[in-house]
Amino acid sequence: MKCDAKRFAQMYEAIYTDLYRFAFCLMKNQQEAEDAVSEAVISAYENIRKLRKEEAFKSWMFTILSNHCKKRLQRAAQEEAHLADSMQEEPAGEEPDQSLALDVRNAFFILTEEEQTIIGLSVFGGYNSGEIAGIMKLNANTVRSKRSRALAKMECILQ
Amino acid sequence: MNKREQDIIQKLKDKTSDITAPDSLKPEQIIRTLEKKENKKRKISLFRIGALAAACFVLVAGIAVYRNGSTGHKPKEEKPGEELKISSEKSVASASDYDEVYDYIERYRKAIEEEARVYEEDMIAYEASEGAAETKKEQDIMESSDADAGTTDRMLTGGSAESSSYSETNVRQEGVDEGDVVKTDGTYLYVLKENGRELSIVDTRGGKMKEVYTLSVEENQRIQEMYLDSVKKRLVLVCSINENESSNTAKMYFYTGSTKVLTYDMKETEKPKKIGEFVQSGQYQSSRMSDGYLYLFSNYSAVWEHIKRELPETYIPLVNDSVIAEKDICLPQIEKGRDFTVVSSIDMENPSEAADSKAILSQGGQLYVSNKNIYYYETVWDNYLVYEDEQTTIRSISYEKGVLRPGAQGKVEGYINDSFSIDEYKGYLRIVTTRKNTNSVYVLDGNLEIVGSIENLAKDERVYSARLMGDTGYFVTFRETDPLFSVDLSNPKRPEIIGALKIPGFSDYLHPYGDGKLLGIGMNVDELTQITEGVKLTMFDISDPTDVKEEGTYILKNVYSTDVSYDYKAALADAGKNIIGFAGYSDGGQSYYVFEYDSDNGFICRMEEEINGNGSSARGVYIEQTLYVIQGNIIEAYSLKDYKKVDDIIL
Repeated sequence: MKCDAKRFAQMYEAIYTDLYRFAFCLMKNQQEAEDAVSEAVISAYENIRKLRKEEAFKSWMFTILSNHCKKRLQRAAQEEAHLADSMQEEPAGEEPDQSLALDVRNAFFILTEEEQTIIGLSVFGGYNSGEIAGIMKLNANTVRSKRSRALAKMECILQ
Repeated sequence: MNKREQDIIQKLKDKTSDITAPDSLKPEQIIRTLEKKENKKRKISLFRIGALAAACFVLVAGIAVYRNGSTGHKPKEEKPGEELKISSEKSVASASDYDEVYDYIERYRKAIEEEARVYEEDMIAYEASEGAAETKKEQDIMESSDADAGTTDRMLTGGSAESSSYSETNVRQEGVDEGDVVKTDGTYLYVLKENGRELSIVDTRGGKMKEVYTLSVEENQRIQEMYLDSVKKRLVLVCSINENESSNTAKMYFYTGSTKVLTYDMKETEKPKKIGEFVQSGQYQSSRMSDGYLYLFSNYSAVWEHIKRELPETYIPLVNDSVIAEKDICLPQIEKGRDFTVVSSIDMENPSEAADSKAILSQGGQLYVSNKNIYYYETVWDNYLVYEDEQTTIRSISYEKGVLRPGAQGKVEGYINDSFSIDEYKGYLRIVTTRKNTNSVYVLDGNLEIVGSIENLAKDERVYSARLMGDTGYFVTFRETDPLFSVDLSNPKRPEIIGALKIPGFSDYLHPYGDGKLLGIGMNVDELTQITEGVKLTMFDISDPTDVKEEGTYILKNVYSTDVSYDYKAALADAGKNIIGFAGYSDGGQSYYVFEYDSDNGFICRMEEEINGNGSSARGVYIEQTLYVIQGNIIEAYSLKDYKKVDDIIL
C-alpha cells in the first residue's frame, strides 16, 4: 500500500501502546523496549509498500516487532555468556520511572523466548492461536499446547 | 483456551494496563522521525529490493538442504510443501541409542537456527504482507479445541450402560475414564478447590452437604485432575510440579516442569491414606484410566542451553529419576523433533512405579485413546511458506494391562480438528480432516494404511465438530450455514456421504442423545450479517441417516459462549435421565442452564441459575434427584424435581 509518514502514524496510533507493552514484557527494560519499538517502526515504514491491506497492519507490526525483540534478546544472551559473572545483576542504568509489576516480570522471566512471544501476542495483540501460528510460522496446535504450558507456569507466579 | 487460561491472560492485561509508551514513541514524534528518513528513502528502497531477492533465494536453498540432506539445487519453482519428507516406514521406530535421539534434536535446532538466519527483516516484511491477511482469516477458525480433546462415546444410547444414579465425567471414549476437577461416587463429591492445592471431600447424604475432609498437596504442586477408582478404592491426583519456582534466577533456565501422581487408598473415605507417589518429566498433558491402570501423558522439551551429547539426562525425559531407555523412545516420522510426550502406565496396585513407559519424540502433537490403542497425531507442515497444506502423521501404541507396544504409523492429508474427528471402530481408524479449503474422510486399517477415502468435501468450509458412531459418522462443517454431513462407514473401503443437512449456525460439540437423536451445541449465526447471536442447541433426528432433520432448536439470545465448545468435560448430557446441562456466559456473568428435551415440545429450559464460584470451568454433577453446580470453592445444590435451590456450601 501507499502510505506517507502521516498516514503511517495514524495507523500506528491505534496500536503503539500495546506494541510498547509487548516489547516491555519481553525486554524487561524500558530502554531496550523503546529501542526495539523504534527499530520496528522504521523497518516497517521502509517496507510499507509491501503491505497489501491496511487491515493487516497490526499483525504485520507485531510480527516485525517480535522479530526485533528476538534479535535483541539473542544478542543480549551472547553478551551475557561472555560476562557470566554479571548475570544475576539487574540491567544497568537508572531506576526506570515505571516498572513492570514484579510478579509479571518474574512470570515472563521463567518462560522460554518462544513462550514469551506467544503470551505477548495473546495479551497485547489479542490474537488467537491460529493467528499467532501465522505470525510465528508455527503449527496452531503447537501454539495452543505451548500457550497452555506457558500459562500454567505463569499462573503459579502471578499474584 | 479454557476459562482459567483466559483469566491469566486478563490478569496480565490488567497488570500492564498502566504502562504507557515513552514520549519518543508517541505518534507525533514518530512522524518527525519518519519524515527525516523520507529523504533517504528512495535510495534505501532500491537497495532493499536487491536484498529481498537474495533472501528469497537463500530461504529456498536452505530448506532444500536439510530436507534432502543434500546440497540441494532444487529447481526454484518446486513447491516446498511437496518436499516435506515423511518416513514411509510402516511401524513406529525405536531409537537404537541416545546419540540417534540427540541427532534428531540437533537437526531440529539447526532448522530453527537456519530459519532465524534467513529471517531477515525484508523477508519478514515481505511474508507478512503476503500472508498476514489471508492467514488470519483461515486461522481464525482453529481456536476452539484446546490440548486434548474428546468426550463420550458411551452414548449410542445416551447414558452409561446401567442407568446409574449419579453422573460421571463426560469422556471421549466409552470405557476409558478421564480425569476431571470434580468427581462423585454417588455419595461424596470430590472437588478441586480454587487454589489448586486442596481437594475437598463433601458428604451429600441427608440432603445437607458437609465437608468431611480436605486433602492438601505441597506448596510447589498444583492438582490438575483427579480420578476415582471405585473398584480398587483409589483416589488419584495428577499434579504439576514447579520445581524451580523459588530457586535463583540462573537456575530458572533449567525449568522443564514435571508431573506427579499421588495415589490414596480410600477404604475409609473420610481418611485417605497416601500409598504411592510417581513422577515423570514434563508438563501435564492428559491422562486416561482403564482396567486398573492410569496412563499418564506429559510433555517435555529439552532446554537448548543444557543439552550435551554425552549426558542423556540433559535431553531425555526421566521417569522416577531414571532416564527412559533408548528402546522406549519412539522416533518421529520426520527427521527432526524436540518435544517428547512421555507416556507411563501405572498399576493402581503398585502406584509408585511405572509398569511401562515410552517417550514419543515429536514437534508437539495430540492424542486420542481408543479402548485398545493410543493414537498420537501431529500436524506436519512447512514452517516457512506453505502452511495451509498440512499433513497429519499418526503413530499408534497399543495398551493392555499396563503394557505399551508401539505399533503402526501412517499419515493423512490435512489437519484434525479435535479428537472427535478420529475414531477407532472394529479395527479401523476413521478420520475427518480439513485440508486447504476442503475436507476429507479417511478410513485406515490396523496398519494405518488408507483403505478408503472421500476428498474435496464442503469447499471453503472447515470441520467444526464430528461424532463417528459405529457404522455412521456425522460431522459439521461451516462457513455461512451449518451442513451436518452423514457418512456411511459400514464398508471401510467405500465410505460414502449419504446426507447433508444445511441449517443456520454451527454446532461445535455433538453428543448422541438416545435413540436416533444427536444433540448439537454451538452458536447461532445470522446468515446475512454473519454475526453470532447466542448459543444454539439443536436436536437432530438421525433415525434415518440419509435424511437427517433438525427436529428442535433453542437459541439463548444473550449467551455468547459456553465452555462446552472447547471442553467436552463441561457438558452434562444424559438422555436416560433427560438432562442437558452446561454453563454459559452472558453480560451478566456465568449461569448454569438445564434443559429437557422431548420430540413434541422441543427443548424446555428448566433452570437458569447464576454460578457464584471462581476458578476453573464449572461442572454440573447429579446424584439421584439433586444437581450440584460446582465452581471453585462453591457448591450449590438444586432439586431436579422443581429446580429449586436446596443447599449450598463454601469450601
